[in-house]
Amino acid sequence: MPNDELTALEKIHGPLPQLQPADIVLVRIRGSLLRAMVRYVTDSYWDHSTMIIYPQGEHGVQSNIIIENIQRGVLVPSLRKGTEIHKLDKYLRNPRTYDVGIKRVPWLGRTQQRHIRAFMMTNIDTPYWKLPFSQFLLATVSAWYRRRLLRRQRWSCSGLVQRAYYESATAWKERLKLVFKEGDWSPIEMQDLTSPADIARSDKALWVYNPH
Amino acid sequence: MPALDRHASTWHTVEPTLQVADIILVHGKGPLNRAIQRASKSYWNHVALVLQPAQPAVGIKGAFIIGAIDRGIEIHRLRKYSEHLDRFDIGVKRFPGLTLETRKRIVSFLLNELDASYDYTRLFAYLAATLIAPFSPRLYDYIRRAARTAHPNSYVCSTFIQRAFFLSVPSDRELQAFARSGMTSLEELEEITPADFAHSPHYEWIFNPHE
Repeated sequence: MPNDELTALEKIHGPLPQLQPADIVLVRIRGSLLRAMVRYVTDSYWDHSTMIIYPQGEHGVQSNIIIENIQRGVLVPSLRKGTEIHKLDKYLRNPRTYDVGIKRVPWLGRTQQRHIRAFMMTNIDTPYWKLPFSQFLLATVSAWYRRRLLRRQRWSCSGLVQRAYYESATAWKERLKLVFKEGDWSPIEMQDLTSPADIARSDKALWVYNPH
Repeated sequence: MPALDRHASTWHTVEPTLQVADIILVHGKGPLNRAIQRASKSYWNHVALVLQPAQPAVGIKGAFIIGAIDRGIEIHRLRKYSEHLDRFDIGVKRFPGLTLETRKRIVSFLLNELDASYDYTRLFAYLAATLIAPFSPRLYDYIRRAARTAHPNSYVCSTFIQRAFFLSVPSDRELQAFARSGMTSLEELEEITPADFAHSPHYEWIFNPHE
């Protein structure tokens, strides 16, 4: 690909590989105190996760298209819209604000990718579960509170990704191969409490771009 | 059965028959919605397109729509309107004779325009121009022309839908795809309103006809 066709982030990390539906996109959002606290509390480089829903080339699309559950605006509830579809380019064009890494569960077949996509689509417009600023602030200064928060905090973005993978398993024995969070959790806890950091650390999904 | 329940009940028989690229017309009750309805002399104030109909086989119960709204080109569930028929009314029209290939081209266009911004300048210029029209037809004409080219890479709901059809149908059907008769150029396309889709004989009513 000619260098002038690359996005700003690709000029730094190299061109994106050919992506597939259900590839997991991890995002670092700079310039936000809340996001910085999320990274500190979860001890991760990443603070947000999204998923490729239509890769470049599929349906004639010229950009990779992602689905994500994200909070926009802390103060105005009507702006916290929840699950939305966007172009991945929004994260690739501004490396001063965003960094992007991509992981893939390598053994997924086309049928399972379609199931994951279908599950994600059914969740468009699902509201965002707000990240509580004050609780994250407290968790940055108290190790005890941090452990407590991580046992209870629900993650809309990565929880949705985890849920889509978990629900896509047609055979129950496959489900454990799709759980990104370490530890012995009940299905409901596991699906709600999986953070972007859990996905980044999980060996169930392999890095295909910009590992951290 | 109350009228609203009867309407909802009819809708539930129509929703499973929706096809890709069906046009969803929306009647809202907010002040901006009413201003658009008055300015365009129509029952409708918003249009969107069906991006994906219901797919019960993979657990998708309702349809998804795409359109220019709020921040720009966004995808939502149709239930955003259909589950709130007390606050919205919806109608459905269809451009007849669309082949699978044309529908695929429409979907490609729709997805490639995702995140393009909403042209509020054009919307408010249209509303302002309509108020001015009785007093100064020349000023009306000037505002109209200036607004339609002010932000070339952004849309209002109806220009997005019109462009999708115009650029996707085979060349021998391009004129039919214009929702307003007598149009000849792409630039005029930038003035299409939801009312034009409602009035157009080239698009057939599937549900809840209103001019």
